[in-house]
Amino acid sequence: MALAFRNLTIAPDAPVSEWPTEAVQIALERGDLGDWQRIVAELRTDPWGKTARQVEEVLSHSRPYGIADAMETALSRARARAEATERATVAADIRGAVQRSGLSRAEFASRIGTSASRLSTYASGKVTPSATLMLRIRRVADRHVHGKSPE
Amino acid sequence: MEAGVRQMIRTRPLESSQVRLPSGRVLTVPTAEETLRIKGFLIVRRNQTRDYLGVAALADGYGIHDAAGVLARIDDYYADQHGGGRGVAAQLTRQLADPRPKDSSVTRQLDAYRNLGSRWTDWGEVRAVCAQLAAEMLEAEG
Repeated sequence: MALAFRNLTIAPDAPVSEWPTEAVQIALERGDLGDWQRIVAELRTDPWGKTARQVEEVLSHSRPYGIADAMETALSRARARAEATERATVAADIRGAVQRSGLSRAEFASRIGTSASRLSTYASGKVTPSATLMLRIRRVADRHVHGKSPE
Repeated sequence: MEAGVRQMIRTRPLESSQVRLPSGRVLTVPTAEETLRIKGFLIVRRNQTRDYLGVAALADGYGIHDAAGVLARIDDYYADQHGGGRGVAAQLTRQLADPRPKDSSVTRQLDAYRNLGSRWTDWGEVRAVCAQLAAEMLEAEG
């Protein structure tokens, strides 16, 4: 049976990102796999977005069998994936900054006030530096770029 | 149980492949994907502990991602007699996400099965793999 929003002005074929909360609830309770996949695709695009919050709100009071658990798992997987991508992007930025500076890893570490081994953990993504240290990393890279002397 | 999947019928012949044994005999067996679909069908149809065990172990062997893709398309092979929709995959997703087999005492006696890998004697482990499969089915291409 195709999904229908009888009391809503929006139709199910409208983008999920435009659905009001009631539509999300109807889809979770009465939809089929295709409808749920559309919601999950939106969760993966924006894991803390409007649809994600709507799903959380609906699941806080409506627990459709199985799909409540599956949606929660899908949402935490989407968030974990986004966080992993963000960590990897920060690490790539740091490797880029070191390379751009033309300094060795040990020199660069010294210029930002840390150890070479600590810098390695930032460059590999094992540790994510604070936002303030990230600023310092960018500033040091910018000052040394193209062999410019910092002095 | 969802009303829509009570009267399921097979809409395609079983996919099979032929295996030649060392003795020279040729066996006709279901393909790996078909085996998974049959086990998935049993979860919806029969809902017993052994059905979840079968799907979890097969999916783990084939790879969760690929297995989820196969199960997400199960409606191409089975359909309820009222036709249309993806009711079988939807019901299978629900049951994998929160297995409640009707022979629930068996979930506490998995070590009684002969030749069952030690990993699968833990019902929590079976549930975890089933939950992962359900999540991947939701992430599969529509």
